[in-house]
Amino acid sequence: MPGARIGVVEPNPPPELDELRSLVDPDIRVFAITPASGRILDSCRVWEDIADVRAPAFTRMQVWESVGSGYVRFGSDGQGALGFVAENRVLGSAVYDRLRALATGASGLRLFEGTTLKSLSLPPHSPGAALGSPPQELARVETADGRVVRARLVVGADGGGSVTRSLAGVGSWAKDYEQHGVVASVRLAGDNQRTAWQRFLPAGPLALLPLWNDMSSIVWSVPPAEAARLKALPGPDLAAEINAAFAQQGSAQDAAAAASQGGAVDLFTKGAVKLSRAMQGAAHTVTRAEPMGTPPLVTEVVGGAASFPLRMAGANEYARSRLALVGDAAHTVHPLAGQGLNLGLGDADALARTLARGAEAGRDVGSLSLLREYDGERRAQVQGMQTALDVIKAVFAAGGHRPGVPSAVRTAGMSAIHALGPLKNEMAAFAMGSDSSAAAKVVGSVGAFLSPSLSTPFGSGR
Amino acid sequence: MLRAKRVAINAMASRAVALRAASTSTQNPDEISKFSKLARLWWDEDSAAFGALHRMNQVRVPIVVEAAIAAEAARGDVPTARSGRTIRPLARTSVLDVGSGGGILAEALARVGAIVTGLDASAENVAAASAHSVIDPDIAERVFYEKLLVEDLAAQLAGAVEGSVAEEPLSGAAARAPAGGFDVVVSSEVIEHVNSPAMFVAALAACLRPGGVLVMTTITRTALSYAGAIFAAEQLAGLVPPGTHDFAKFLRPDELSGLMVDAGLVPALPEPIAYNPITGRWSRGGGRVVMQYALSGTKPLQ
Repeated sequence: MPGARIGVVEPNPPPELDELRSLVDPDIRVFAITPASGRILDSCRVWEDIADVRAPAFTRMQVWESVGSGYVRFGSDGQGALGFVAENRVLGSAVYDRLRALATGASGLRLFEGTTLKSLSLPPHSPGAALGSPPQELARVETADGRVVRARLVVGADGGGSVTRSLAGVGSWAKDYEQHGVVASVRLAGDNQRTAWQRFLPAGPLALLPLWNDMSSIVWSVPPAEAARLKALPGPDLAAEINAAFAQQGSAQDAAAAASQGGAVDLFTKGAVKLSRAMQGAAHTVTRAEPMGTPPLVTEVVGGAASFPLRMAGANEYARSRLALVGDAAHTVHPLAGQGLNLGLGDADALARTLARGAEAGRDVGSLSLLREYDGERRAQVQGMQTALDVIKAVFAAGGHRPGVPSAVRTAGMSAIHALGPLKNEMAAFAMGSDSSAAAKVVGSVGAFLSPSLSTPFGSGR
Repeated sequence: MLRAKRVAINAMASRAVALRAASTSTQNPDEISKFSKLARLWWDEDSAAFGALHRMNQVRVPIVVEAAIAAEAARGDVPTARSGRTIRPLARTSVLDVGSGGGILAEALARVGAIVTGLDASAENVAAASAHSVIDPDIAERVFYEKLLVEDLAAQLAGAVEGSVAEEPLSGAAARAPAGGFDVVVSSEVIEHVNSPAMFVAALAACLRPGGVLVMTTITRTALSYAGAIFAAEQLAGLVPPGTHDFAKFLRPDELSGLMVDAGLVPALPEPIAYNPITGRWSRGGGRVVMQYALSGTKPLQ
């Protein structure tokens, strides 16, 4: 929005991108970036800098399981990348470099660095119509270092533990998956084939995301105790465990359990059809039939491993009078589809479009009636995605060791998806971000880390 | 269905609360007081009814902006080249908003740069609008409200033009009016409630500078709007006394166009405005006028 005065509160400004160029080892925190998210970053004039440093594209995905023979594999067939893998610190520095450049220009953007939000007061919140209307008084933002800013709009972009959300008193819900995502950078025995791999193991999905040359990144969802064990392993031992997890075959016990669950196949097929309907609108063909492949062997874990708890969470509202929540401050999802950051960028894009549309019509950018349009657009989409990912997680990733969990359903699901050409095409298109409707991308995996902790008061400093 | 129905009610409610107390010399005092208790509700966006009215700015502000820029271009006095989008397309434009209510449209026009004078026949509305306008410093310096009838302002402006000595001191609105009249006069969702639409339009036109443009929005007279008016009256029982919607007062586009011609204006083609009760959003265009529409008329340069 031209002419807007924007303040950005950033407790920990990242280093400049140039300082990262010489780094050889990849950041263990990486994100899968859909082409649609790439376009959003490009529109902010950030993507070029990221691609310039390192955001390798991947052109092929394979998702398969350890029990049974179900798999999905597809490539982008010469129509560009299915996605990109970008390191967290590179993304953060590239975005922040752009903010630095804007702050030094005549953009009206100002950085409040090294401080946090101390207090936030918003107009009274009254659900439903009530007599005695609350006026649209400007938000009052006070930083820990004592600065006070009046703002027409406060954007909470400060992650899953959003202080903005808490200070505003917006309620939230959460579902703990009782799993941790173990992440590490790995070196492979050969080229990474620009392929993203994900295998559903009894304990949870293991993903291998291609970086550059022979480098890749893993995200492995496991129970917390198992995460602690994996993290404590010496590098060569962890590499061996990763290789074993990609290679292992299901036990006879699993196979027997699978056979006894035949009746569930139909159930999943119905689910797949529903998923297909949800993804309608993504019509272009990007797939071709490919035989199942085998990921390259991991030869080395570069640096250590880290882990983070997996949870699905959401704010009860994404908007109130003079407040908008975006990214993890509004919602988190299971990382199995690598959608956390992409959803957050989608929020930012939707909010920006809403504000621009409103400003054009002289509407107050912090007004509830305008922000509800953002809330309505995004909350429905994100909740659809959350539900879809939760279902996929339950169906595909539930442990085969747990009694009553139909592993055959997963096999059937994989086979059904692979057989259903149109669905597979839609999945690929969705994975590429060409479909904005709410549905799940089943492939590509990355840790859903918090967005950069930005909180953005919008407007007047008077 | 329940939701759809509720939203439909909201749409109707927005029509009802849009009842401004603006009137002509033949005004009914009851018309004014019955909306006073609504004054404090103007800015409650959580209320379904007022939320719809706030969202209506999404279509009516661009309509006013486009009409203002077209009139300015026709006058040939475009002060600066307008290239691309700007957040203040109405900078340096004087606007008179007749029947300004709580200031929902006036503030939006001020936000896109206009200097706005809002007239309303209800002191409570003027008080509510004035109180709200100080919240945002950018707005406070660009809006001014007064309890005044438009024909009284027109008479004062005419007196000023003719150089006669006014018996009473000029109103604030008249004192603030640019010499020769306002660049733009708007009256949104008002004329359907005045007793003498012809006098009303004539007074609006009299406040315009030569080459200025009048932009009005209202509701046409169709079976649908008839049903809507009755529906709204029923649903708003308690908020608005029965009988506030006088269907006979609704004007079809050709009728309003005729009133503009009679007032010496050159009317443009009417533009339909539609409310989608499912999404709660307003849109422009769409062919035929079924419910709301906008109509603008330009005052010849002479």
